[in-house]
Amino acid sequence: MISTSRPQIVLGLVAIAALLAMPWLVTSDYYVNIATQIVIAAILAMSLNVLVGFGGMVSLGHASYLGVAAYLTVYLTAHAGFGPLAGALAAIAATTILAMLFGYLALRASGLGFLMITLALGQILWGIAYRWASLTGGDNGLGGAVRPHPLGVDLMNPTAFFYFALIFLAAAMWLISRFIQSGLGQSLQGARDQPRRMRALGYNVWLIQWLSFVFAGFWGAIAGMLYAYYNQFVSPQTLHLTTSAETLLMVIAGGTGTLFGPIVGAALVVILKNVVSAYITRWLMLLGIIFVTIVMFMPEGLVPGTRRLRGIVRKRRGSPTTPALPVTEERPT
Amino acid sequence: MNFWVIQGLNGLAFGSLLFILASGFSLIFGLMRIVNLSHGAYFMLGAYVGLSAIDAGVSFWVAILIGGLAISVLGAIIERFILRRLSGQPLAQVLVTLGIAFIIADACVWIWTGDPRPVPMPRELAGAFRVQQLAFPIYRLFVIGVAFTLAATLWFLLERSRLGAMIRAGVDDLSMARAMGIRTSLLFPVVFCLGSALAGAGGVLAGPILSVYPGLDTDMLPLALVVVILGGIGSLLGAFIGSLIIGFIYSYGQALFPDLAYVILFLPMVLVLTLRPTGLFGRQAI
Amino acid sequence: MTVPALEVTGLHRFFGGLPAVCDVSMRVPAGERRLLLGPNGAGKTTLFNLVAGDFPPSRGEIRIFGENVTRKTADQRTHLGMARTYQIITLFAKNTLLHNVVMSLMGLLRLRFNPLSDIRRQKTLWDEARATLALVGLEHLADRTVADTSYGEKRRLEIAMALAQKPKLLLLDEPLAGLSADERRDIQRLLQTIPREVTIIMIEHDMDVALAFADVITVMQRGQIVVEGNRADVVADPKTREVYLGH
Repeated sequence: MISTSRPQIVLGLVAIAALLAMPWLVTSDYYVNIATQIVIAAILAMSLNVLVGFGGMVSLGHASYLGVAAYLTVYLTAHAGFGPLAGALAAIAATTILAMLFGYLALRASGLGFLMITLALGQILWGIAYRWASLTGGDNGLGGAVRPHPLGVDLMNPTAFFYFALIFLAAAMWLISRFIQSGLGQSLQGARDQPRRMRALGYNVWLIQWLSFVFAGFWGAIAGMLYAYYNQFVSPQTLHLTTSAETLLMVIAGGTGTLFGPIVGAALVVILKNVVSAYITRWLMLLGIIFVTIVMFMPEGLVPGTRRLRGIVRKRRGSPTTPALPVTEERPT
Repeated sequence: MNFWVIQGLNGLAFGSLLFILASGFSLIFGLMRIVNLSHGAYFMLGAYVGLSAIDAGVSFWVAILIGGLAISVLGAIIERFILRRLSGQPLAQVLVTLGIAFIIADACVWIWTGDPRPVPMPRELAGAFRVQQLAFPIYRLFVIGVAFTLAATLWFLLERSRLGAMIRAGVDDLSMARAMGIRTSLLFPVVFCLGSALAGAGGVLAGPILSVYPGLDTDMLPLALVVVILGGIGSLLGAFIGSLIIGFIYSYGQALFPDLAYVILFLPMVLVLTLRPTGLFGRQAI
Repeated sequence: MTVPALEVTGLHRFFGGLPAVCDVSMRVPAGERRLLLGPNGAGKTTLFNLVAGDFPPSRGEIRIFGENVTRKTADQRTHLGMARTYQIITLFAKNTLLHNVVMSLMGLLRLRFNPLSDIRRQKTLWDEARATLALVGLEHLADRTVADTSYGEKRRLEIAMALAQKPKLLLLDEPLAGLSADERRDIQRLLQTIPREVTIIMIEHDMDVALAFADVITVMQRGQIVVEGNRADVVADPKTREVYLGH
């Protein structure tokens, strides 16, 4: 399955070092804020990659956890009188429970059916956020001063908030990389490659996939909480299919099934989106074009693609790369 | 009493529009194993094309034809030059259709701006149909009639024609159908064009009721997905019953609990996926 | 009388109206070596898949060590002490041989649900996997990826993965298919080393090897059991001749 190769660890350390040094390298709050966006997107993309890359379960509804956790964080802390810690914990717990329910429903199917159900459930959530205006503020969204002051640190300062978010990214990187090498993570990858064989070996494939789904939902919720803190505002757009698709693009662009590829993918997508949006309003079209281009011409994603290139340069026998789109449908024979 | 009848007819009319969209989606999925996430965008683009045709002075009826034809040509191009290249990679196909959906959606905003545009109703169908105190727009009755006629036609096509027999064989077991000499390379474009044409024409037909606006695509697409999840893969009857169920739920939900109309959509999904994951009329789990 | 390792009664399985397995009843006492014979399409592998729990029977009942498992999933049956090999090789092709055996071992451990502990640090697990590979003579290839091994080595790995679970009931689906004479001899020797108390049911076409191996032979045709008995009886039975010669 995957072994965290030395270049990957080096790449990861370089990325962390670059991120740590970020606020010294750039002085403008604008860039610090973009770095923060990347950090939050990276957590979300890494969590989706647990499903897509390591589980072979392609979800088009991962914005659900980002959005629901963000709505709940804003609603509970700014509108329902929860304290910052209690509000955050309740939001993450409730979102994880939602992932349990959605996982149960989506895993009634596999392959394309799984994708369809996650998409449908996600869009229903979007519809709720859009229409249930008395609760969610509808199209106007929901705002409120929700950034906490942990240990007296003022997180309104962009640099302070950046480091705050970075702590969560480090935790995610650590725990998700452990997960990948753990019994459950290895079982998940086995279920991706040979589900029938795994059952014969005594693995409850459904339960393994469901537990992983909930794990991914939990990290999605963490990203959602940070998103709410960062924006101090949340709108139905957070739950929209385009958000799920952007997240999936981060995973695919970075290379599915690589541990830190999604972080690179997140950086690419966030930077591109910010740059493009500064000049034109055609982000959605660009997103579509990128999707078509990547799927048609570089199905292995960028990070494995470059790894393969390096392999060619070194004239080594290429190791079998994980395809970016691992799902084939499992059908009873 | 009036309320229930009127909302029931509204539900029937919305379900009818949904059926026109979902039947093509379900056929394409059932036969080609392609989840065409552009289907909602086809619907919206069809409506815009029809609207422009009407603006150009064409009659509503010709506009429906133009909308259907334009989208079926678009579908043929996408099938031939993109989806066929990715055959055997169901996931790549889905993601490509998603990308195309975004491109179409943004192109529509570009061309037709972001304002909602009502499609003018054909004059001959304006007005209301009255029974005692009940008044119901004739146009919606017409839409219901169209959907039922379409359902009957599709049923006839699938169950009684040679083409239909080939499609059914392909839906049941594609490799077996190929082994028996059915040329799926001919069948696929036919079904994809038919599904696209239905989406395009359906969009024009829906215009006078729903209007056309950016976001119509992502409003309709998930509903079509829910219909197929409810009804079962590749099942025409499933698409029909599923569309009507969602039509009613949506319509009564909007009227009774406007805030919660979307929450109620969870219920049939939870029930069907828990109790019968093949969908109501499907033979294989999705 | 002791509980049989496997007992199936009135088993049916239809595929779209066609019976692949039709009213099969069979009793395999613990410790027996049973051979399933029959022409292609006789329903042998379908019977295996039904016993293993890949899909449910249309009718009938399956008991493993006395426990009714008809409604149990494949993984639950494995935890009762059943293991199987596949006719078509289904291994984790991108991983090492050692890793494949570890996956097999972990299938029976709670470790498979642990989201934190790194399985690379489970030394006893890897040692045991290495020992199992040594058992089938693949120790020297332990760190090679499956994709880079020969067909015969993959077949042996299949058996190693089944043996790793220390099953009480072992289903072998054509373990000798496609192997050279030398490789057949190796596998044959390997099968003879399996402890006597393990019940083995084998599908095999190589008569010489299979007949030497089996205590009891069951001949199937068109989804049904035609003849059952010890080696001499079955070979002498005119119905066996009919199945294989068509007269």
